[in-house]
Amino acid sequence: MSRRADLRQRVAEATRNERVLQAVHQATWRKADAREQSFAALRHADALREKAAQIRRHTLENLPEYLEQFVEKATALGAKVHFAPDGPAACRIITQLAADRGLRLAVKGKSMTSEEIGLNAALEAIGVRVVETDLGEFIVQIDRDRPSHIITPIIHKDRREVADAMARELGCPRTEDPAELTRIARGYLRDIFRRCDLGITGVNFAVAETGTLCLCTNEGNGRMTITRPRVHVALLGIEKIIPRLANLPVFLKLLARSSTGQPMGVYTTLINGPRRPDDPDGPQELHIVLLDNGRSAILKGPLREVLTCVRCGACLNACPAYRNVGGHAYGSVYPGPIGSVVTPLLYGPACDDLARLSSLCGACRVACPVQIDIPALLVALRARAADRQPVGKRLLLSVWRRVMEHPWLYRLGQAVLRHALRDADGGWVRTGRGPLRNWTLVRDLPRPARESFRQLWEARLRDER
Amino acid sequence: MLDDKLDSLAASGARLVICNEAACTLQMAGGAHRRGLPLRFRHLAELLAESLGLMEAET
Repeated sequence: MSRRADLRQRVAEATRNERVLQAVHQATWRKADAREQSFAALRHADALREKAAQIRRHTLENLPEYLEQFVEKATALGAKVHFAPDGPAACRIITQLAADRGLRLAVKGKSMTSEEIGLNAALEAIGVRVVETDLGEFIVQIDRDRPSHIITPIIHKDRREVADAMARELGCPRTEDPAELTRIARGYLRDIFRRCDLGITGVNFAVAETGTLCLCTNEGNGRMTITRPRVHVALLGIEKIIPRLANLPVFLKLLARSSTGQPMGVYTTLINGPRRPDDPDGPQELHIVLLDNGRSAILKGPLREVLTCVRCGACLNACPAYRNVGGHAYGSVYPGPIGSVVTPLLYGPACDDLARLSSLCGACRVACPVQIDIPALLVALRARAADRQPVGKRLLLSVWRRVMEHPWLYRLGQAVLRHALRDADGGWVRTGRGPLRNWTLVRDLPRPARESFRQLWEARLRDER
Repeated sequence: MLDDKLDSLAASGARLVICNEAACTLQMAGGAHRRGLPLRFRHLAELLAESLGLMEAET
């Protein structure tokens, strides 16, 4: 990851465009409402979430065994399984595959893991053209933009921007009608599908018991991506394993509801190896790339719970911070609450500042279909980052700590504050000075009570005696 | 985030908000006062004390 601008700068930059903010704000509220409604209609929703969390935790506790089983079963089905210790290794494996076979045109299903490793750039560097086939990712790609949401990559764009990008890049007549825009993209992609020779997808779940890959999409592009090309590469993090096929319905019931409020995704594809001799279509070769990229280190650490994530995006839509700054403010592949935990763990302490982009309100924990305690993980990351705060902030915190450890200092502080704010106009401070300046930029501050609770309490005890 | 909360509170038609977290109360009460919203904020203990006549009801 390139050098990152300071968190404050990134947020300032990301929040400059009022139209983008409006789009993100409305879309996240809408999706959060849709999620709540679909869960209200689901019987035993909490028991299901508990079950899903248990399965995910159990899998992680026994990951080496399940991975071994998955590799054995997938290989028996005719897939070739590769193991990539990090992003560059995964890119090398995939570019080598393409180069050896002379593959020139790749179609891609939506995959955050491929974003994580920068796969498109690696393929394009060796002359393979890569075309995103998920509509949102396609628009991001032609507009040379970045996804700002893990499920809804163009949540920050309105139809005007989409219309501009498509007219400019595809040379089609400009229209803002979503149905018409979709039809144009579909026509364009159909031609690409006819000519492509490599299909690349992510994976939602990989079943250890059977070697099956499960792919959930809404547009049918995932199916096209694995049907037309002669080679299919499936890229997944090692944490995507589930033990048994019978576990799958638990996750399918939760995933689409959490992502978009749908009872189920439109296309659920189960892939068992490459094309068999009597299959009418499908790829001749299936390559499965298992990516570690720091995951086994996370698994050994105290924040391993983050690996139970199923990448549904519910926490992004639920998060009041995400709603108000949008995904680009995070400056990371994975934004939102879960991104603020995953990113520092994958990319190192330089990204620890993301843990501050949260009010710790807990809406993410409530929304999470696998019950990840995201606020607790954010607090742990903040603790990890505490030693690397700027000097000024460290000094302030050490003073604060001293004050909190010594009641007399605390009382003194209260008295100073009470005195300083004694003349507040009508009981309210409207323009604070010094450390109170930021507070009163957007809100007033009530004048402190004339006597503290402790003073009142002690006076009362004295009276009773 | 404050605007979101105040918009929701204003839309609810509530006149009294029970909030048991001091920092959240400061934030919302300060925001409501700045906007001139006629909202009162109380801790649950204050509401009980007022109702039981143990504390003067502020208006």
